[in-house]
Amino acid sequence: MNIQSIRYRLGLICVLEALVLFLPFFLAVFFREGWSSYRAYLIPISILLLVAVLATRKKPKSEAFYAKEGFVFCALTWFVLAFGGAWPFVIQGSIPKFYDAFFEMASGFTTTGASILRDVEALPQSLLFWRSFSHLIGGMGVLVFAIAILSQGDNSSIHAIKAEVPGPSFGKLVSKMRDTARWLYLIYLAMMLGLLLILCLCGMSLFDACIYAFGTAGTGGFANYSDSLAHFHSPLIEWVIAFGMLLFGVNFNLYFLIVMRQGKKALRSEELRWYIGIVIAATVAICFLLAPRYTQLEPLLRDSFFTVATVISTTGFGTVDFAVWPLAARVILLFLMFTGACAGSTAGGFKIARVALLTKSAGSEVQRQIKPRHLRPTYFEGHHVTEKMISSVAHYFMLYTICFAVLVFLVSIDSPDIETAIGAVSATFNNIGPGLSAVGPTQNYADFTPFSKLCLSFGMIAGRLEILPVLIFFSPHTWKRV
Amino acid sequence: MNIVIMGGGKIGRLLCKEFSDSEHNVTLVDEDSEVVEDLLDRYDMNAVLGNGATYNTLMEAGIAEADIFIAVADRDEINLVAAVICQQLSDAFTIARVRNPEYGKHLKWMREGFGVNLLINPDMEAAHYIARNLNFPAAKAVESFAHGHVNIVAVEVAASSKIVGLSLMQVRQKRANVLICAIERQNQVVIPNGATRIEAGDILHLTGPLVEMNRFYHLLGVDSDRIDSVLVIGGNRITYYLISYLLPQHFRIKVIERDPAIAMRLADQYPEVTVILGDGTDQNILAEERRESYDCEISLTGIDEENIVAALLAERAGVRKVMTKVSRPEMVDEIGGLGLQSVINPQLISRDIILRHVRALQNSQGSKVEALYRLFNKKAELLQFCVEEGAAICGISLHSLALKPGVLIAYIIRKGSVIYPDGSNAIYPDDRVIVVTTVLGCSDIDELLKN
Repeated sequence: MNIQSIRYRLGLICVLEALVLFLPFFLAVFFREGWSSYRAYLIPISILLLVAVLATRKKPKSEAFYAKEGFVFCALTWFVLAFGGAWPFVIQGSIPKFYDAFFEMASGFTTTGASILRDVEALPQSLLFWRSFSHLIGGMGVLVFAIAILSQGDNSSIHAIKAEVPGPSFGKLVSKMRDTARWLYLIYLAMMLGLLLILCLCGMSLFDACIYAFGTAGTGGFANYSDSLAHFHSPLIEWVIAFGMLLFGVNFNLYFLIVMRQGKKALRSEELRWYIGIVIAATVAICFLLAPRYTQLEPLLRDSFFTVATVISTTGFGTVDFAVWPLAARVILLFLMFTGACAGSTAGGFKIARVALLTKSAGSEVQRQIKPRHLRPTYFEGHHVTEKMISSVAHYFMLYTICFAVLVFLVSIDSPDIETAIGAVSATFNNIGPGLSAVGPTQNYADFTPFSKLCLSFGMIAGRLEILPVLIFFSPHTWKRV
Repeated sequence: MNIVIMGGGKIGRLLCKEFSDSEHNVTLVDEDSEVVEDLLDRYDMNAVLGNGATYNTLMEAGIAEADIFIAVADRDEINLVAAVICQQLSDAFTIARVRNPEYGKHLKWMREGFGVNLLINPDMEAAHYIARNLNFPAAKAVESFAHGHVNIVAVEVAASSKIVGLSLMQVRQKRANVLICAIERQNQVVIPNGATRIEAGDILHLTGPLVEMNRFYHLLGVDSDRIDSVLVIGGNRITYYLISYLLPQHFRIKVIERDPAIAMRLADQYPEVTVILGDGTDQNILAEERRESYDCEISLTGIDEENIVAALLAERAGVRKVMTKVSRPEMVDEIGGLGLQSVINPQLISRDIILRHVRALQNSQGSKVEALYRLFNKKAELLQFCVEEGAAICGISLHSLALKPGVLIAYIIRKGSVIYPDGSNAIYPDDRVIVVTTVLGCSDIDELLKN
């Protein structure tokens, strides 16, 4: 393990976070929030810079940076980010307890959107901005961002990026890592700005539009009003955000293909078809289940579609309280929480690509049992599905289930009922935000004990990084010298 | 530049590493998914899985936008077919590896027929490299420029040498009219002038006519007797090419080969060569064949370990020059530490040749540099300029030219003949000028002038 190199790189991450923290600081100055707010940013910024100076003072002796270093560095980066980003809340005083602030920022960077705040509107504007801005950075990935702006194109960065980008496989858009990262961010930011503009045109103030555009782009879900999007009472905004969330749940490689004028190829993507199919099926099913409660078609369609979009894209904006929906509708939502959206998007969850692969392989297994001699190869995205792919996805599924079960057990220690425990874990582990029952869309996570909050914070980071980096970081085997 | 490399074998890997480290966009094409995954993990590049000799795969690899296409897959035929397809689809500079000696007989015809810009045969290049080194027995290394017209030779100055402490001016007065282009001193490169003094331990890079070089060796006190007997262990493709280079120069050659069929074929094809059937690592056979009486021993068997052991034993037996072939490129640096004189790796030699072409292409885009070689670990460059009408440097005798420090005009090629210039020569339009310099990144000859 090349600890020096990891230390050096973490120093650079600290610089990055310090620079990003200047944004809410300027906003605080702009809104004249007073000395207590300025201090809340200046102290963490100076500490981060000091740490960065200490960590980068000595260049690492060895350049060795392999898969293990990549995983550990990636996990540490996300812990450091949430740790550093939490201090403004504590110093400013709006979230006095550090573990609460850590939960809030872990939720922000992992684009979960789960909050421990009982009254969001009491926060100063700059902190609201910071919370939502963390969605924007976390959505496409911090390391991807770092690679995009740092000019050094060393071969070792590939391991760290692979650990951070979600999905069963990581495909580069172009030959160079740095150019790939730049393309991803360019598409991401352009889409975000487009959404921001549309929201402004729909009548939102610039500040609100920023908050909701960041939340949608990163598929996060932090809002600046207690009743989230319902605050605006605008069907138009709800439709816009619903489609926005779905678009950010699509694999960004497809957008790159469109930019490269190969849109036809993008439309042929099998994962995209599964994604659209699941969204339509779930919306129709929920419409039928909710039909008795509505008198008009448009609100019924809008509420069902919006909720399906917010859950499958793992965003978590709320317009209705789905915790009071019929059980069957809630089960559909629970299923959507697990599938998540496409690989290579800003969304969390198990990813449609994996669901599709496992379903297909299960189907072919059934057929093999019926006709053992009939050879029927399985295809996904036009490629032959190899045993290796299936086994890697199946093993990830096992790992995912085990982590989920362990987290449910840990959280169940102080949960009021089983639905709350399962809802809370699936909403945080899949980076969605609102869960079921006591942590439903109108509730929050404030009532959990510090222990549960820490577990859920770890769950969020593990879920965002697809478990392996965090697991490897905590494995004692990683830290042995030989 | 966009570079497409077909084949992730030994050379393919070396090229991927070399190009992905710099600003080039590399795309690898290989049929083996394990090779592709392994290399993608190591190097910052893209890869396409599939047969590179097909339209679809090459298009997917972005051949249409490629500047350079390098076909280094296992099989010659695949490389040639891929090169032909590439010619149809793009304007890329095409490099293909062709190893089969039967194809190698008509290189020029094949180049034109298949539209390949550069055909490279690693075995032939390795043989060429060995043959060149045999002509300069005292050299640590020999670099050959301008289609082999000029060689730059590296020699180490021993503490006992007569020229230690002399300035270059004084050396010249001793009637050794060689040009010392660069001096490597404690890992630094010095471009010398007349007043530079030579120290013990310096590595001199020099060029000049062969007669003058030999006179200089004599001054240096190094053993420069011509090598005229060579013992080759192993009879593979490199051996064939090597013999064909050495025979016209009247070397006495003995080959020891274990395989009766190969040995018979060698003996059949080259009656002038003594072919011994036997194990070249067997000390009894070597003693019987009196290895110690040979000037040079070259181990070329297919097994690295055998080559290394044979070479170590040869050095102990007192053979003057020992050369060893190693087939794993990554081993070359490690083995250098074992005390072997000269280690040859065909892949590295081929890589360097390809690199030179790529760099020349890169540098000649919109500039007047015709060829570029990096010397001494990229600390100095050797550039070949074609001088154009109207260049500021024309017509002024060299001693009155105000050149930047660290610039040395090594030689001038005028109408095909090489001039080793002194102060009285001048440069004229259409000359080709070869310059050694520590001023890196020049693209025009006038940039070398002090404003």
